[in-house]
Amino acid sequence: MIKIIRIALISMCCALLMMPFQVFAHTHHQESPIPKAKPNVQTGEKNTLQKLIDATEPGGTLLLEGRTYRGTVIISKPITIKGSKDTKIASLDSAITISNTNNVVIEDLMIQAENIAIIGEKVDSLQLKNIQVEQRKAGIQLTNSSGITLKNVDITGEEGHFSTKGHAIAIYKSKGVQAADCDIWRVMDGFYLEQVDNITLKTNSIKEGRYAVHLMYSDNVEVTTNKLESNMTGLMIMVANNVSIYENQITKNNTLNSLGVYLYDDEDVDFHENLLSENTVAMSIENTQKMEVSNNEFSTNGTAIQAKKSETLQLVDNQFFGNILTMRTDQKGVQLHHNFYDDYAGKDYDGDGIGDTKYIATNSFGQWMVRKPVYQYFIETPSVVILNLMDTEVTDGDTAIQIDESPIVMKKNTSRDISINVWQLGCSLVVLIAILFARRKLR
Amino acid sequence: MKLWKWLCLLLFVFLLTACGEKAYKPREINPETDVCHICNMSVTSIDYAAQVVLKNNDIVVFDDLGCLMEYIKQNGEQEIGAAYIRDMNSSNWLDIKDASYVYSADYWTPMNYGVLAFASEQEAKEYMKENPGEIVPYENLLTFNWGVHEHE
Repeated sequence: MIKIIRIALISMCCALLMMPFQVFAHTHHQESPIPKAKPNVQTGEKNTLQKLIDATEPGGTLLLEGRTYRGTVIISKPITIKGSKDTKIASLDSAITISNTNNVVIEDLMIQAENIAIIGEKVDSLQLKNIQVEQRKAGIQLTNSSGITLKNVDITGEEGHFSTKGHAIAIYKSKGVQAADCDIWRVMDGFYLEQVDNITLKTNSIKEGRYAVHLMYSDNVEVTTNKLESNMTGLMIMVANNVSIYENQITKNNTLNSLGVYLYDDEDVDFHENLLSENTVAMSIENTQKMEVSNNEFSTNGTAIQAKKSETLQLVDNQFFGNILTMRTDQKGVQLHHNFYDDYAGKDYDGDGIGDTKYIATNSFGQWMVRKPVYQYFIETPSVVILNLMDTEVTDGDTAIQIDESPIVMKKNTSRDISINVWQLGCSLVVLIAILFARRKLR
Repeated sequence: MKLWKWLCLLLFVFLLTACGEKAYKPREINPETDVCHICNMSVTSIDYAAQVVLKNNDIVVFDDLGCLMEYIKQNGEQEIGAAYIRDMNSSNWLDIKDASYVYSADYWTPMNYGVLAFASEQEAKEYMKENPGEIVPYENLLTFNWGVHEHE
């Protein structure tokens, strides 16, 4: 009995000591500081915001006080509007409408609007910086514009299902969109971009929406270092050309119908160095041509990759571990080369780091699941396990089977940042000492 | 004898029921759970939704008329009991063969196919007065160049 208590105490002590060491795969997204300098107010405080805008010369700068301005404003000339701490625009309709103008800069504002917070139409060179939106209907909607920069735009939706909400940032028929450090939460689509050319989405964080990033009919796209977590689907890219997706974290997209990444009818896609973890299906690729998936980490997903009508898809130097099913494809298949698979059972007797036998990535059951996804409920049942074993023995002449002729046998080292929480470490040590002291006294 | 009469009447009613055409009724779309069978997008814009009721009473939903037509193109019409599209004016379900269609590249639909359905040609023409487009007969939809799947 004393032995059991002793083991339990030692286990508790170990657990307490481990608590402060939190391991993170990646850390990013540093918010820009809010300017501290108090701005000069050029016109009277009691004037409405629209009057202040009208009184500002084209190309001039309007500095706002730290108070709430009520109503809707229309901007139709080049202007810089700069808020200060606690500057807020509240409107029962849209807050800001910008149309038929150029060189508009809006920064350091909070916006609360019952309708779309910011509407832009035919704006050339628009910059939105350090904007916070409490979204009701939708956040920002821009059409027929160019040279759009969104920096540190935070948009928060209300509670409820995504199907009842609008998009956070919707941009239609535009050119040149750069969005960085935006923090979006609880909306329908974080970014909805339709018929937009030349897009860069960088270091954004999007959570709990339908699609974190939804691109349609858009060309020349770069999506990098974003954190897309707990959405229905992380990346939804449809009918796009020349797409580069790298160093993103796409995790925990695992609700009903969820996918980590969905690519539909795309061409020229480079997908590399991304982390895809805890998704129902990490990547679903359909009717996509000229795509390379390289150096990505697929871990603890239901299915790592599913592909249809994408025979030119190449998977190179990726790591697959902890997934229920590595791959399922249709008859057209994909090309596998030099990937790591945790369920690879082959040996490497010549020590070159590459398995001496081939890795069979797909199986009959996986093929069936492509046609009838409901079959996934039978994964790992005894009959399916036997079927999979039979598949590995009888593969000759079957062109539908996906084979990696040169699988890697050793997993690459994953870089981890280890941080110590000093407060938790201190508390743990105090508790540990208290337990040891109590143990001595109880003897 | 009276019992026989009743039995015959009952049999007659059963026979009539059996001979009647099977009804393929549309169901309501659930924007929280329904996903387009073709493009995999969730069907949140329910005013543009379409659906196919198969002869085995399975229902397949679509977010856009173009996806429904792609389904017909891929699978043929043999297994289809009925197919429905939303009326732009009333949001009622219309049989796709009875609806009138208008097309414009500027009309927004979830997949940007740009084809809208109306209960009658008159309603379609009324719509086109404010939103210029062109009438497209149903027969032409089967061979229509939906366009968006072509890379430049």
